[in-house]
Amino acid sequence: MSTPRTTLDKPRATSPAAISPDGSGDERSRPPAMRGQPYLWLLVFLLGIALFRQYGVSGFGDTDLVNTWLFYCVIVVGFYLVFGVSGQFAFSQAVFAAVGAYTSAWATRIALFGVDSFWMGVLVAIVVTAIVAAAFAFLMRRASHFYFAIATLGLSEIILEVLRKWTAFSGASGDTTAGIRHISLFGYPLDNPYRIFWVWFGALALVLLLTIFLARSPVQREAIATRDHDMVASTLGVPILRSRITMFVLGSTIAGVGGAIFAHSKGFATPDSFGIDLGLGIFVMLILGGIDSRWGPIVGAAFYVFVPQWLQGGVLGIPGVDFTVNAFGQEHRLGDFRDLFFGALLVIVMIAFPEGLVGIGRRLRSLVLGRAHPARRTWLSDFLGLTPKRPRAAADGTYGRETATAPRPVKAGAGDGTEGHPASFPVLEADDIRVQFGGVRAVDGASLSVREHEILGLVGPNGSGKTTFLNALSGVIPASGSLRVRGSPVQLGRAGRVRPLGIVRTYQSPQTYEHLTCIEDVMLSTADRTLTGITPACLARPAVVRRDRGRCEAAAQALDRVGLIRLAGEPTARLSYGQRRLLELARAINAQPDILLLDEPSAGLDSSETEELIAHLRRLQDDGVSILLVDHKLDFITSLCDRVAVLELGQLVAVGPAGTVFEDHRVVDAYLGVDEEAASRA
Amino acid sequence: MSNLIALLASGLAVGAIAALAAVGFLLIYKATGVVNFAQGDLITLGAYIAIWLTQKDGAFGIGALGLVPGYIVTILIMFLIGVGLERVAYAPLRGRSIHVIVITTLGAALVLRAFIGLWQGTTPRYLDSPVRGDVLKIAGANISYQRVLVIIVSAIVVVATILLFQFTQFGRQLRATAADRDTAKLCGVPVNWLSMLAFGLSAALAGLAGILLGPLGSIDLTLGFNFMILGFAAAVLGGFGSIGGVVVGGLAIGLVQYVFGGYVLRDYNAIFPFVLMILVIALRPQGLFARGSALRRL
Repeated sequence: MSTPRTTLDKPRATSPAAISPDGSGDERSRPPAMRGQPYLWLLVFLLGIALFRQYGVSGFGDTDLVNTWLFYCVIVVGFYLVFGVSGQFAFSQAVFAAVGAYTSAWATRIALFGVDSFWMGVLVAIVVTAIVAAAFAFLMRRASHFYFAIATLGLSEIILEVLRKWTAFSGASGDTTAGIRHISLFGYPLDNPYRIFWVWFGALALVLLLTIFLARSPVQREAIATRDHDMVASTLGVPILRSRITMFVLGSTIAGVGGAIFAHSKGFATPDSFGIDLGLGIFVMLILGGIDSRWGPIVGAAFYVFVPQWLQGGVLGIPGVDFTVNAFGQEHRLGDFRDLFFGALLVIVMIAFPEGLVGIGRRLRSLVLGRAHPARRTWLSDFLGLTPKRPRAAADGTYGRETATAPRPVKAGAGDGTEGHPASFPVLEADDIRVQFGGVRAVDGASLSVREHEILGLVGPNGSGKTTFLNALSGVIPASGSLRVRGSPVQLGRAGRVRPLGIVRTYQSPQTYEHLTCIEDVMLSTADRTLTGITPACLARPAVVRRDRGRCEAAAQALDRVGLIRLAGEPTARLSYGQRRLLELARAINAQPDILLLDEPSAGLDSSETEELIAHLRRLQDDGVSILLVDHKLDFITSLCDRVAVLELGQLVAVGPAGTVFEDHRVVDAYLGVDEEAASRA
Repeated sequence: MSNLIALLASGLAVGAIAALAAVGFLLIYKATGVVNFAQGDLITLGAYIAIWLTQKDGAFGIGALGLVPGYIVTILIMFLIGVGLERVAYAPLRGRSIHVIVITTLGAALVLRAFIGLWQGTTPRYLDSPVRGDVLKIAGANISYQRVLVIIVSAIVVVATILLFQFTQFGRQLRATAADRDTAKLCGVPVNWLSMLAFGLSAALAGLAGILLGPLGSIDLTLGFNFMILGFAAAVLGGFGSIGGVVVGGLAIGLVQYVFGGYVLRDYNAIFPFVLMILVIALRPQGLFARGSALRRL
């Protein structure tokens, strides 16, 4: 068992959820995900298993077991991308391995393109798996988590049934497709477990390298943002549909490659070897190993493969526990209880240590090294509500004390020609906005325009529809009406449509990403969306790294401006409420917005923090940003806003300078209620 | 004509069992908001317990119970197993999110299946039926009585469940518990008993489904899981939540599989229910019939 041990020493910095808090601002141009030495660890790991293959394994049987482990590693790393990074509940990983296996077997059998080599077959398998996965993911783009899970179960049934019945494709007689061509490399046949090992070795090396590339590029950051809060990601400009589909297709295609190698190395295939048992096993391996680390699949698969074998009487030369248990009148060896054991373990792991074996390793290491414990949580445990309550205290009380230095120019709006007439040109015109929840008209035909360089306050009693109005403008809820930004119409009801036009918003309760560090959270909002896809992440490494360093520097400036730079490398989960508000503001600043929509920015801030907020917003205004803000505090509104709009029962009752609006009797009535007697007398 | 009638009967029978499986997990879903992924393996377990109780080499060497008494005892045992499942896999997790319980039920499904495998082995088994071998002849079509029995029993159970939900104090309390457990508790609803009862009834329905399903073919470890996915399909088509919708969804998948699949791509008829389900999720996630979305919390 020496192999997995090396994997426990993985560098923590590879996983955004567990970055050590060393971001003290001196490494400004290095995003936290780019620290650590993942390439080195990958080399150490590969060297370890190569040496192990050379000196630690004897016999075809044991080598075959190691190969099975590597097969699981490959497909579970794929599943890590789908479920661990991207958060998609998919039971389809096993069946995509089947698609890859059978497609490759078919392509080599009929010698597609006149070539019958495995390498052609695996290429065809990649293309076919990717097409099937992409079509499915596109169809499921609006499905909830639970429906997605059920649909992947349905897809599994469909594909397995087709493979069972379509013998012209599968080439099967009975259940089994036999005579699948063995892999050969430059005419050298890889036809026994010792040689096949190297194919798996290469495949796993490539797949792990891919995960490093993704982690050290915007891809993983954006997938995590999509996973943890897709609506927020969308309003920040992250293409969530692309992120989801890409990750699903990528992970599924990796399964397809694994399946193809598996079929060609065995020489035969049956649909049932890719059935629901393997599907559930993949789930068990990832959760058991650790869901938030690329080493989780490796450790989980090792556990899944070797431990039952060990209970069965020994593995890889290690003498095992070998005794039999009498159950139901039959003698059983311990290994026969494998599924019982894993089913129970799935439950226990979920509840007791959601971070899996890798997480336990991390904790042991920090115990030995005397470091602070890494957070015992994953996105899954948060999602499942298993994480203990967040400590409310600030990790560092000094925010705000380091006030920013000289003002840095933010992009000065697109309408540079309008400088001559400030506060006149409308940049955002909303007309007759309506939002209906069942029978309730939350916003009922409100029309409002925000002028260039102005701060417009939107006030109104509770339930008057202020937040709903902002939601409608930013497209996160369905709404009717028309919206124009600098004269061009924008489709309502689609989050992500307004971000490219320079509109950025914040939320009533701050929406920060607890599994990202502060700097990564801010980097999400970047206006620079070049080289964010997976193709450059894999093929144009230097350019991607350079870009991301640029984004990191810009984000650091934004953090500096709100006084949070000292917390740049901290997970946002450590921030206090007020700090999270400032982080959201930094994120908005980093987006270089043209128009800013702020939802109760002063809520929960004390008076000095409110003063600072006012200063920040004034500076943004000076930089040319137009601001629409919703708030309850009238003194905050009056001291900041050029104009105020009052919303009551979803309708706009008054717009104008603060002084005159608050004199308006309709506004007073809206807030204080109507004196019925006085009204009837009048 | 005779072909069509035979296909209709097969379709109705499969649809009826899918509806029965779906009613089983909807009962828990409506009472607790949890989708129980172990429901399928409970169906399998029901079929195996029935075999164990009614066949000569079965339980405790007592020899065979009569078929109908054996069935009744099976359903009672399944009820107790359901209550036990609630105590072990749901009660300790109450208050956690729905999703943790769903993953726990997946674990429970694995445990159940592994247990059945150890207990009964992996070779297919057969369950006897009181109406075995008898066929009903309608317009030249032979329809086995087992299918007729399946359709009639399922219809009775579904109607009874709807009545239970809509018109009894128990049903009101169940719905109240699902809507807001704490408030229901404050109103004096015995929520603990209710969720035990819901799991028990649901497992009993799974046992019934296993008993009805068993004699239609051979019984193996994946029998129930496959029917559970059909049940999911039926529930999705019906908008997930309405029991009436499940009946229509079950009929739809039964008919699409046997009647549509009886004429088009016959070899592949087993995939049609899932194709239909995926299309519904893609195009009409609120279900074929519902207006609003009935899918809450998940």
